Amino acid sequence: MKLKNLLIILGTITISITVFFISLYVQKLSIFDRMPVFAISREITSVDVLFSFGNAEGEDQQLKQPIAIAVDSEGKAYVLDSFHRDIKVYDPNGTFLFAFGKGGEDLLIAPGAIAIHNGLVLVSEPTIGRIQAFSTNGEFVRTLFASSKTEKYSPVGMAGLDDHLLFADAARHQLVKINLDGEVIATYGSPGPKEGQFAYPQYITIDQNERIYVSDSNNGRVQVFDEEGKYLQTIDGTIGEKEKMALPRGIAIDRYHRLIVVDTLANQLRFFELTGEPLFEYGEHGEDDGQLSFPNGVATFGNKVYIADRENNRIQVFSIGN
Amino acid sequence: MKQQYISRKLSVIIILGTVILLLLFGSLIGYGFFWNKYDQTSSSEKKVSVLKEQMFINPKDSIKQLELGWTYYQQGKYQEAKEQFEAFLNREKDHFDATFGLANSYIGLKNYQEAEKLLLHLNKTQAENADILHSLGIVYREQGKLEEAKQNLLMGLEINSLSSDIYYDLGLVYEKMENKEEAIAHYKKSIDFVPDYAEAIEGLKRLGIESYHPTQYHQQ
Repeated sequence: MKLKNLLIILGTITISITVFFISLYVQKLSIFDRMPVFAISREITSVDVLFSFGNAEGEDQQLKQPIAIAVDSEGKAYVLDSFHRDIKVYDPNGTFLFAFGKGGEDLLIAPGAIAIHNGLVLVSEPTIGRIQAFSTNGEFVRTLFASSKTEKYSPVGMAGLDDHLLFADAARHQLVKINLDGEVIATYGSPGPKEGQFAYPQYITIDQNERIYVSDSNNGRVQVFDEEGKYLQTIDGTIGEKEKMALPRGIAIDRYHRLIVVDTLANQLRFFELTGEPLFEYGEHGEDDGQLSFPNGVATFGNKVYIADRENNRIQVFSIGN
Repeated sequence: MKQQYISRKLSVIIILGTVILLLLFGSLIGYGFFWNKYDQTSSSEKKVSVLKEQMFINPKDSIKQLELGWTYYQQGKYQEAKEQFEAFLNREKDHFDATFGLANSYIGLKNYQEAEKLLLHLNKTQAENADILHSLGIVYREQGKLEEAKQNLLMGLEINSLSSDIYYDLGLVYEKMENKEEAIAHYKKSIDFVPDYAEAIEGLKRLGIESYHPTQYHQQ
């Protein structure tokens, strides 16, 4: 090989790798956060606390009763502070960046859940019956969905499915599919304990095969549907003589395709295969690190699991050991 | 100009070596300065710093001082806890919670005589308080007054029969009294309430019972 060509190759490699690292430094994301999954085993052997945040900030930045969390593709965490009725944003290291939703056009009256879809931060307000959309910088974009006077919905958890958005309608015990103009396309389910019925459904997550997982809270289970809303299965945690979930709320699927369910009343995280087979249970009530007090929302990023530890006024970040 | 050539094998080695070196160098800088730089202070330590800040902003807020005392106590920092409870009591003499906190700090500092004085004082005003009776039981047990310890813990259980801690501490008293049967029964009872009660499990092992699995857990 000509020396000149070798030098060109080395120069190109050096510049590319330097740019790659600078982008990671700016985003505060480690190289492992961007790596594909290399799981030796799907089995979970431990759950460890990495850090917590929101519990040592200044007076107006301190979290109080955080109930929901979403993490964007850059690892920034958007936390719904139910007491202050705003959204607080933190960098991947848990450093407070800014808050929004506190006043003016973007005023949030009674936020209930948060999701990120198509680059928008969506905040549902169940008692108002609407979904507000913000940019990731916290600027108010538009009201994505609003109940009419005759048709009152109570949106809680949301999840994007192609060009549509699904939300759990807690008051009418159903799943609602809307388009991005806020028009209702379809509703699935009815009140009740049977398959395909709901009792205060709360959060939604969607797997890579577009199967929809809904935490059917007061029925103590997660129900799974296909993208057309057809009932597929129930996950209640009872396989292998385990205890049924008490009040499942936050749900998320991690990058190893494991379902994580927050059981609020049991102060536990329950991990499942997407088939419903229990993998691991973690948590007990308390205020020490690693303990939980009425946890609610959950989000994942890389190998990190973020839990809105409501009554401890903090977000706890866990790493999952394989 | 004369062209210089390098063998293909050497070129590949140089390219791979450069990539590896750059990745290592980049990762070192990343972990050194940018990545995983989260605050690893424990929640309890954060609570202490927040409370101190709040007390600095509003020195008249004595409730924060009380909260700080209990936070130190939970951290096992008994001397610091004692100082906070004492400072609080200088402002609000005979405050029940602060006096009880001070007594428990003395227990943590193994100053059982001072703890006993405070607890007896509290016991005069609240004779049917299971927490005071429990602490008195511990104080007597640690001073070797086993019969007094037993009586106070039994009274504590009369008032609060759902306390796994009182069952455990009573088990410990019975063990010291060499009443193996009662000690085992009380350790088991504490495990009935809290199945992973490590000290009680250890107590049973000392008495020759390697494992105990409660068939029916108590609901607290």
